[in-house]
Amino acid sequence: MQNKAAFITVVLVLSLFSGYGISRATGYWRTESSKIPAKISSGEFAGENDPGDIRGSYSFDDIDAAFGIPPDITAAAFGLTGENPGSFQAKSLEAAWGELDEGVEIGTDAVRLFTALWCGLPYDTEEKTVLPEAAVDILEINQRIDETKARELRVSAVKLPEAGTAEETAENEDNEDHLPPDRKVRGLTTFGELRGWGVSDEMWQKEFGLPMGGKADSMKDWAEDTGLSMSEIRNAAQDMVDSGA
Amino acid sequence: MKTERWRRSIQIIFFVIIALIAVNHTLSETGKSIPIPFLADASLHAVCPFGGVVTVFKLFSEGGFVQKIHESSLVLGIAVLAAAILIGPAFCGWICPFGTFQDFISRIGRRILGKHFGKLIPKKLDGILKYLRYAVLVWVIVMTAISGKLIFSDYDPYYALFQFWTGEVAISGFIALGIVLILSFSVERPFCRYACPYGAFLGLSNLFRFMPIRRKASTCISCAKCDKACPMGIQVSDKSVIRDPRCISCLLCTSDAACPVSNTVEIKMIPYKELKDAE
Repeated sequence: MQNKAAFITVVLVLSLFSGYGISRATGYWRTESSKIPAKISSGEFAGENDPGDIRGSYSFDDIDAAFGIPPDITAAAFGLTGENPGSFQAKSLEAAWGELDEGVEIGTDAVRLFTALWCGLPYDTEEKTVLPEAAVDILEINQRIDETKARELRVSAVKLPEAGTAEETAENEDNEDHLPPDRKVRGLTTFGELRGWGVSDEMWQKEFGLPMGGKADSMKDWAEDTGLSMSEIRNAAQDMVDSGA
Repeated sequence: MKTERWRRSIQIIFFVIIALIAVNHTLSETGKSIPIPFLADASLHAVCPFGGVVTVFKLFSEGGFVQKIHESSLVLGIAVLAAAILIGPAFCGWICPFGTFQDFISRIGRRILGKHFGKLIPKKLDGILKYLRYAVLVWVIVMTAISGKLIFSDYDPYYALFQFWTGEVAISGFIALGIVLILSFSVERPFCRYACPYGAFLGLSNLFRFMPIRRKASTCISCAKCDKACPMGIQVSDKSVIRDPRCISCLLCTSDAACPVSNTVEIKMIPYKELKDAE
């Protein structure tokens, strides 16, 4: 009775596992990015690595390998300090800085733009992408862009709240370990930290009309849950922290 | 073990595997991975064969992959397609974890609604809505080719189900999941029927698969139990060979399951001449 069912199972399992086995044996099987960006296919820069293909999983070391930008330069451009900036992944920037003022974000696309400008390669950014002021300064100081371009970029460039550390943000999931000594509220700041800095449930409720999140919930999580902007939450939370200090 | 119980076992095994991979990927990103052999660090995208379909344009035009899609997706896509050419889209009926999820919800819905289950969408409307998934397929392929990004993941209820804890799921994904969840209480496999682009793609294999479901008219007693059993709403009882693109090769209509007459509805390799005569 179950012959046909067994047959279907065998065909499915055989096809999947033979595909997996053959590709693994030939070295084709890959479940993550090779960290080698695609080449620009046409135009003046054909054959060059395409900054537009930088993925969020690329670390600053990967970017160095593909585009020759030292990791400490990239880290400094994005307001990060620390001993091992090379392991920092581009996608972690969003978590580190969250949504900044006026809906702008510093994330993977900003890294692509910075890389393109550093290497003199073409790249069309996404709408909300801007660079930190520090990145524009670094590009100009290193003569990667001229004065006119720097002025143009500064129009939209954002000033990052203050320097974070690459290690701190790369290991941001360990919220207990993520305790900025300066009591600056960031996207990854947790409600546990806020409470520790003197922000009470009453203060929060009065400001937002909503209860505080759980101990391990971050500001970014809460912003996503409530639909409020990150900058609004961060500013109000910072005021509460400062008033309680 | 009966066909349906066998199928359910396979479905549960793959559901658990995918769920474990999804959790393991999250853990690996936090540096706390529990080792699952072979796929320990794979993302959900890396083990979804549909990625192999949407990346084809970029692969041929630029030699690369759409963002978040890797070689593994292409390999799995080819493997599933090879199986589909032989036995049809059995991946949908036997492996796809989101199909399993809908089956599970529908089982609950059937118990609650009894004979009212499956009556929500009139046949006429179903006949129109069944084409919707092709529009979704075309939209996904075109938009992915244009953008080079995995645009469907923002609307993909499967992604929402297996990544809901990551904070990476768009609100539109949760809405899609909610709609499918609610509909599944009253309609069998609503996402598969009306919106799944991969189901639409694989379903085309029914038009030429080597081993179709066949109904032997000479022994059929016209009880229509096969029609009632089909989770995709196909009328099996008026066909000799099922070439309907909606068939998912679940075998629920066959003589191993719903059909009370042996060797009457079955999946079978049919000699070309006989097949032509039957069709």
